[in-house]
Amino acid sequence: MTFEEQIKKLEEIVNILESGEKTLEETVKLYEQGREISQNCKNILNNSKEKIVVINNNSNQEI
Amino acid sequence: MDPITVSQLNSYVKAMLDMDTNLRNILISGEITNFKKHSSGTLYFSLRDQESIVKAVMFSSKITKKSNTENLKNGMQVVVQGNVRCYENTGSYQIYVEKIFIDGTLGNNYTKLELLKLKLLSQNFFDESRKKNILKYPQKIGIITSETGSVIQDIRKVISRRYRVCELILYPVEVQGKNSCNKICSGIRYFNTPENQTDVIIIARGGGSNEDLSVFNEENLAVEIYNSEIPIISAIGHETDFTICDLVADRRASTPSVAAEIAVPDSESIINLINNYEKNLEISVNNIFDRKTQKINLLDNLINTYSPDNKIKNYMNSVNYFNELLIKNMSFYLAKKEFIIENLNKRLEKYSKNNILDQGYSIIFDNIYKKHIKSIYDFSDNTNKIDIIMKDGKIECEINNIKKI
Repeated sequence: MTFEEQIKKLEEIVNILESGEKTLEETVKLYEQGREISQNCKNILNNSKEKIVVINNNSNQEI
Repeated sequence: MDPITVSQLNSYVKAMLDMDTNLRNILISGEITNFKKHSSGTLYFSLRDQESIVKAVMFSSKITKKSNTENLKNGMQVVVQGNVRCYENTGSYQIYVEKIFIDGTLGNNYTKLELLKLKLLSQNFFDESRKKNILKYPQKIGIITSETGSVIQDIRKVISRRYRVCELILYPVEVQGKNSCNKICSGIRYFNTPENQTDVIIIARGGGSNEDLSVFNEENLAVEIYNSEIPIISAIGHETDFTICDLVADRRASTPSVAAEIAVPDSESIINLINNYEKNLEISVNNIFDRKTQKINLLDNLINTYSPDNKIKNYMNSVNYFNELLIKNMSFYLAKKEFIIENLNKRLEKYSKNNILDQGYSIIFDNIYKKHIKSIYDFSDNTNKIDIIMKDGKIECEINNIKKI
């Protein structure tokens, strides 16, 4: 999942749980999944390093 | 058919002309005639060609330093840009001029630029409705700018502060000069190829003179931006500079740093968002648990009502109840009987031997045959003595005669 998909998934899980219509088993599963995603997202945000790539475009000036 | 008034006719024609988008923002070429400048600054004139003539007005509010209107005079070939509307009072239509381009100065850069803007405007290049949305959480950002200089540094600084999750891909170009436009166009095409695709493209350049920025006013670049499948953020020059590149791009940023801010979200706000989501997760899960527990308790109570234990208890209660009832009824019955018996006893007592003697009666007793004499026939032949028993003793008697009454 991309970062955006993860955030979207997290939002979705929160919405499902807020509606309160799931069974206990599903609730526990969704909760665990939600926590995992949120921790993962925070890890990504806190631990990412700047990445920059410079294209070498001298050889092929016309694309 | 009832006749309509002149005002109604003029008002109708005006409405018809106002509705027609073909008469909005058009270019008309012709020769100036009947030129008149009102004291308010408003210009009244007509445009003519070989066959026809049309009235035109340019209000003073439309005239700026760049308008180049001081030298206008009759006989001049010009191109005007404006709207055709009906002047209701006189029932005549005229051109309401926004801009005038003097034909002789069409080579002038400013005029050329304005004409190009008009052309692109008419082709919907600047339409907000066709502008693409910028992805909120980009993974890859294509940057087209100079490899050296402060612009790329500013962008990197902002992005590494706000959102290090994404990858920056710099397509280095010269941002002025002969080759510049082609290179920038190549950059846009590069990021539009499937294997090099990014989520957004930033085209950026620091401040400079109008001449320096002229690359970003070229039609080729406008077309390339217009055709890009990937959203483009343009940050050219300073806040006051508005290039065609800025106008066609999906977003315009006043500076390269602002472009970077538009391109990426702020990690801090995402963390806040995630924290909120976490809080909501806890709350809603607790709510669900509470609700389930309540339901379980309810069902537990219900099930207990129907449990064997409870049934036995219920039966036990009934048994106890009937048992008590039985005991109660029984003792009541016994008490009643006891009462009756006592009563009978009391009555019986009245007739006991002692009771009879007490009342003064006597008992005649045959001492030989040891029996109670109740009748004259009870006497046997040889009975000659009897005892008369009284309450306080006995009288021994001899029998002289027995007579039947």
